[in-house]
Amino acid sequence: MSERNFFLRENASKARLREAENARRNRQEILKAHSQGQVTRRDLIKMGLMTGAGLLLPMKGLSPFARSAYASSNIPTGLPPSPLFGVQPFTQPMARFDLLPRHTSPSTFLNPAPTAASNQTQQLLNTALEGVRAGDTGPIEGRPPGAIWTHQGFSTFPPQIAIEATQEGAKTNTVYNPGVPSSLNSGINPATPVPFKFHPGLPTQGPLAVWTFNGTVPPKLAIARYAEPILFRHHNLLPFDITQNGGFGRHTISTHEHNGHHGAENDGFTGAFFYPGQFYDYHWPIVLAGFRTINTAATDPKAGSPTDAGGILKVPGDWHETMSTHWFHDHMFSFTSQNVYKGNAAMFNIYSSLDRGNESLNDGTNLRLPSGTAKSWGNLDYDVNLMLADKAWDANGQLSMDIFDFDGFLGDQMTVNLAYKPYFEVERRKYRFRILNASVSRFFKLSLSDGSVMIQIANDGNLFPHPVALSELDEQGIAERYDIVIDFSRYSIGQRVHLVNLAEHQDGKKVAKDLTLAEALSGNSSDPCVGRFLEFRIVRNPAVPDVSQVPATMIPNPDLSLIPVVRERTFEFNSGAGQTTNDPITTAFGPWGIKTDNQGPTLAADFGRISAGPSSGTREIWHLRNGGGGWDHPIHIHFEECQTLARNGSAANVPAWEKGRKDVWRLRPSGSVDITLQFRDWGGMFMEHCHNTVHEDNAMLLRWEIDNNGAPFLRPLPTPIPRPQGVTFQAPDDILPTAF
Amino acid sequence: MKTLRNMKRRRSSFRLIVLSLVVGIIGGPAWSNTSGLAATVQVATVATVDSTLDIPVSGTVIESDGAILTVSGYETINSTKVTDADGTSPRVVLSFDFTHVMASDGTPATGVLKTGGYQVIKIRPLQASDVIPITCPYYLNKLGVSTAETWLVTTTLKFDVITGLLAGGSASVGANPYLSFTTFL
Repeated sequence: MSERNFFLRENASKARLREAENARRNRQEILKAHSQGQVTRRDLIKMGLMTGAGLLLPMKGLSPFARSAYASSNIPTGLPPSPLFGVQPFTQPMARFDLLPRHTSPSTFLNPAPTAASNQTQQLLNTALEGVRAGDTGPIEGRPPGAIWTHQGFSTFPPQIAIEATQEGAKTNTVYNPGVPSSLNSGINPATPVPFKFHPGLPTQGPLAVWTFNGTVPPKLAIARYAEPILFRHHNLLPFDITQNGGFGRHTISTHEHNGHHGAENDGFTGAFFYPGQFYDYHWPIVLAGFRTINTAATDPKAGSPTDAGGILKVPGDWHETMSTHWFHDHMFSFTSQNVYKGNAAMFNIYSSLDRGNESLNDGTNLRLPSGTAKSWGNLDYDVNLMLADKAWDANGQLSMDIFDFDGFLGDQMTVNLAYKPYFEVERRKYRFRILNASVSRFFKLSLSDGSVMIQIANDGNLFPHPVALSELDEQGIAERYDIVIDFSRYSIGQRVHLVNLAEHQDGKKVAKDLTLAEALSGNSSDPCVGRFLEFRIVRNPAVPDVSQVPATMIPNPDLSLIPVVRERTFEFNSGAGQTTNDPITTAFGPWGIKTDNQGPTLAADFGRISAGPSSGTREIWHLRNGGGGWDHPIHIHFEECQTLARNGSAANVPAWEKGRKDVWRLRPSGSVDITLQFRDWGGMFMEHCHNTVHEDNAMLLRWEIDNNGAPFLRPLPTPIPRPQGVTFQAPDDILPTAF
Repeated sequence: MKTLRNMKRRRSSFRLIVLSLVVGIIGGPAWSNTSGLAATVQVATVATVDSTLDIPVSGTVIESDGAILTVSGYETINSTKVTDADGTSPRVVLSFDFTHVMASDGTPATGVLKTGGYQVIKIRPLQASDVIPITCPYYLNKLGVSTAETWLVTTTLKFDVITGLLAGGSASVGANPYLSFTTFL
């Protein structure tokens, strides 16, 4: 088929626009019914609307891939454009993230006080919840009850900071706190209420259209430092009625702190979701991996946390495992793509003695990365979070999701921090940008519009052994974080330079073409998300000299040479998955799936199935294989950072920017990645999945667990089955023969 | 006959809507041709073809301060042709390695400017000839990555479109032309 014009422009013929809009509305009927639990994918197949491979049948009036009735041959119906209501790019300032308040003394601030085990205090349930009858009661906390889901290390690492947030529909933000003065936030006055809009000239989003943290924009940022455990209380204030979702999104949620080294009860397990009216207490101890066995006496200042006085609190663990840039997002089984797209995504900066968030402290440990100097740690002045996501909205300007197939979803409008193509004012000095790809299926490839240098310093929250100078970043898959430094001192005041996306998509499966900079700037791409999307405006010299640094050595990889590899496993990511179980709660149906250890069929997700059970205290090598077929998969492994050993079978194929630690790997078309990882410190059930969340939801996800970390852990662990009345447990549906 | 527009107004039952949709799509004269363009068959069978090429790189670059750099060396191109099973045209995953491209301004005291092992990976459609300009960082090791500037390496690759193998290539180097793309407020 001709791939051009898949994304229709606003100036396409009225007939084509009408045709595409009608088809989209019909697809949205399907998505709406699916999201509201009225129909399953299996039903759609039976109805003849969808193939077993997960494709909408190429019917006119339904599929965007069907031939247009109003165009010459081989021109698809295409996607209708998101109307811009006359808005022009780069006409609004980019608001920086909104800091979530940190409260000391969680046990007194939070009501009820947090508890080690799930708080099963009963409350009267709202009868609008599915399966609830008048008079039914259920627990106030959605965390599964009992010893296995009790916070590990709760007494060893008692919460010192409480962060409380809701998940709710769009509303005006009256408490915006960017954490920096207006002069460092493009002149935005934080005291001015912020309506939920992608641009001041675009319509206000309704409460059913978007569901974000606290229901507001800008997106939220949590801040932490090592050795200061956090109790994150997440309240679900989404509508009780499952049908009140604006056509997409599921009102049950599970929050994954990506990629926290925590006990599984705090990992946002896909099957540990909670309901409207409930909260879930996530305990993030913020510890260095290896704290039980390495540097246990806490004698190395490189393994440390910044103190308020500018010093270092030494902590146990391996300083080579220090992490920096995380994010947290929904992980609701089968609905992650819809919920994250709808707004369940936030970022999380973690500070350490190495990555202090203060560029002037010169103690021989602090790396002095661009940040600021006003505070002893955690300065955001020159340390900027960027959340990239492609979005789409309907004719009324309301956020809209679409399904053209289960290959993936693409929006046609670029947003940064949920703002349509904004500008950001900078000073003539170095800035650190923490860039998150928060899209559903879109990969990015970033360059500056003048082709000049960016210095990449971190990948997935892990500072590199050595910084890497780049003029274009590697493709950035969904959920990957790239930390880069741009030195704006090379520009003159009054100049503008743009971030440019070079990765051209024609569908949600993969990047169709990595454009050259000239191609991307030409405006000729058929993909509207290619080209300039963020404008940097160089507005002044810094008031004080820039003393930040980009050291030649940052964080070398942990030395694993003395840790034996106890076994190897192979995971192949394919389509055409089968399902061996039929549990209505725990199973999903493909087309996507994972074949484990070259045995049996490719399996669609069942969070009641155990595919791997590595032993606590061991190290393994995992081989991740792309089964091919014409797509790419960004594969995410939960729990602890891994090291990349090889690509396509050779260590020489691992590029400089992947030689540090990682937690997401783009397998590349027909590619493979070999990694090594450890299983230590905590226990429970974790996940591995494609972070193209459409693939994840349908159903490229598996459960693995660290099974023998001592009591109360069992082998195997029982599967949680959440209901409003409380979580029950059942034996695993399936245990693969090579799991344990 | 039910039109799609009419169907949009009916919200009472999803199953009714879907059944209507099927009838409307298949039965309506405007929609009677259901032949599709992208009946993707997602079968996990893929062929890959690898090839490698070293391409000489040489030229001069005039820096903003007027210094003339003489650039020499070679870039290494690794190509993997990927034939998808979904009917789209074959693509190549290209890795450009500029490790061995270096420069000098002719002054021994300056030292050798290197790219720091710079690599770029690009996915491109397989075609007989592809011209790929890439800006490339260079700097003196002793001064570090923070001092990196960029030049432009324009690589022309020739492929055997039947086999997918690299068949040849050439490269030139010059000043980064995009630097003039920055605009003023």
